[in-house]
Amino acid sequence: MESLGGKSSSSSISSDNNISKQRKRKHTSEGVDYISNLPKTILFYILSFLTLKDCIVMSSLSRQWKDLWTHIPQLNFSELEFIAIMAKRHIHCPQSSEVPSPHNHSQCLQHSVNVVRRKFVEFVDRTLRLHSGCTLNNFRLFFHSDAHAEWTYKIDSWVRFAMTRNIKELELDFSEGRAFRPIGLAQSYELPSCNFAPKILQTLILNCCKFRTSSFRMFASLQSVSLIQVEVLDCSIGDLTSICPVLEDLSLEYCVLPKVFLVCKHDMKIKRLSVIYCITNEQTMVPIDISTPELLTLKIVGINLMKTSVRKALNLVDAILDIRQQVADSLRRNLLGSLLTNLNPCRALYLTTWCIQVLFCYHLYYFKS
Amino acid sequence: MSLSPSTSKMLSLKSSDGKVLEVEEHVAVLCETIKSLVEDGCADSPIPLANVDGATLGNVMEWCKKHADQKASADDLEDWDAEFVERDQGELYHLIMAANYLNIKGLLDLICQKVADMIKGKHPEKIREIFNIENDFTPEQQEQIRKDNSWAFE
Repeated sequence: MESLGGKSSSSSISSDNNISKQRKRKHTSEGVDYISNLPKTILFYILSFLTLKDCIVMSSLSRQWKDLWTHIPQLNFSELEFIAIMAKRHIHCPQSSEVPSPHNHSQCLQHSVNVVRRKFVEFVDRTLRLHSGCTLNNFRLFFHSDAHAEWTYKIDSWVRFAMTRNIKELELDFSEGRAFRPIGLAQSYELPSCNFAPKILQTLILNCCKFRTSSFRMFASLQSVSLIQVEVLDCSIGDLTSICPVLEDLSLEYCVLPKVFLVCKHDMKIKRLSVIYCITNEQTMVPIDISTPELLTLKIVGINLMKTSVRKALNLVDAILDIRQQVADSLRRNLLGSLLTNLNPCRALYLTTWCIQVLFCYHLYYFKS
Repeated sequence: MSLSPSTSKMLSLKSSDGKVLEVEEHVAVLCETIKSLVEDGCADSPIPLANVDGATLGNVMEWCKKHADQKASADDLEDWDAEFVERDQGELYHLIMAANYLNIKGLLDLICQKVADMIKGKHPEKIREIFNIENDFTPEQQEQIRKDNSWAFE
């Protein structure tokens, strides 16, 4: 008995020492677990300041923390970030005893990337399966779709998750951080066609994929759409605004659009429109013919001006025109001239050098005649 | 109606432990909870705050006073905030609870960010040690969790 008592007293001394050590540290908790006593809503809020990785680390702390992460209001999956973390562990060649040659090295790298990609796919799958289904403020997926043929059915299932859950902001980025490659779009991933009608989605950002407007039934709350390096396969801006009745912001950058995508007779409620370096399969710029009584800002950037008409833009505040081309013939002069007549109500107009030069010729032309 | 310092009157706030604090109205209304009482004309003096103790109320009002000061620049506030959150966990805990109860988003964000910064990038063992969280998993459960989320534990 005495020896047992002796043991227990020595262990209590050592734990006292631990406590006194902890007291010396900054932000000490004085032996009290304050954080686990916070209400759940605040714990979710604290988790919302952390990356998914840190949230998962938190799930291993204790039983109380185990499932908390499944209620976090945002999911951010980045394959690049995942690779950066995993690469250190998984870069090893099957034949590591051989002297590494450059050829072997690249094979080795490819092997590691494949291993990590598989793990990333498993991780996304598992997370989506376990997530509580609470409303998400945002859902971001960055996944390189080069190897998409192998993973298409997986990406489809993630997109299905995103389109059928309550999500406010959705970003799907298949560009692998690469920018400006509209030419390579032929190979890119096409969003599945399932008549989706996400109810609370407000912001949609797509990067480097194919988008079929007719695949979607209704975006009842969608206010902002940003398409970057996206190939739009069908329909027109009129069809898009009819399935997005409250759409206010539309930004198209480096997109490949149907020839008459930006042609619509009806009035649209769009307030901010950017068309930046968008092309059709035949032309380096997209013809525009729209009627937008509520338009506040307009930005058009491109090469070789096409017929551009922006009607009823009586509330326009800012307009930016950045057109690059070599020639300034009478056709271009007239195109620019009639566009500028449309933009007459705007309070601030930004023109690049070519436009000013053409404008000058236009002025002279009319002045003479 | 905008509440500027020159027109601001004083409000009395009574903490859970019975301490009364006199605070300028334009400072106190940074707490949305108090603001709606004032707007509804229900700001009887002193306003009882049953969930906030005197020491915490003092700290909260110190933060509100600094943030109501229109002369303070953004950089100045950032430096001041960074110093303000250098506290022990007990105080941070009471500040979070008070910021939540009084509905002060700026203060709640500040402290939650501080707590998140104490967690970021750390190993589970380290986080348990910092916050005194008891590990109540069995070794088998522990191993299963590690296996499932191995990438997060590098």
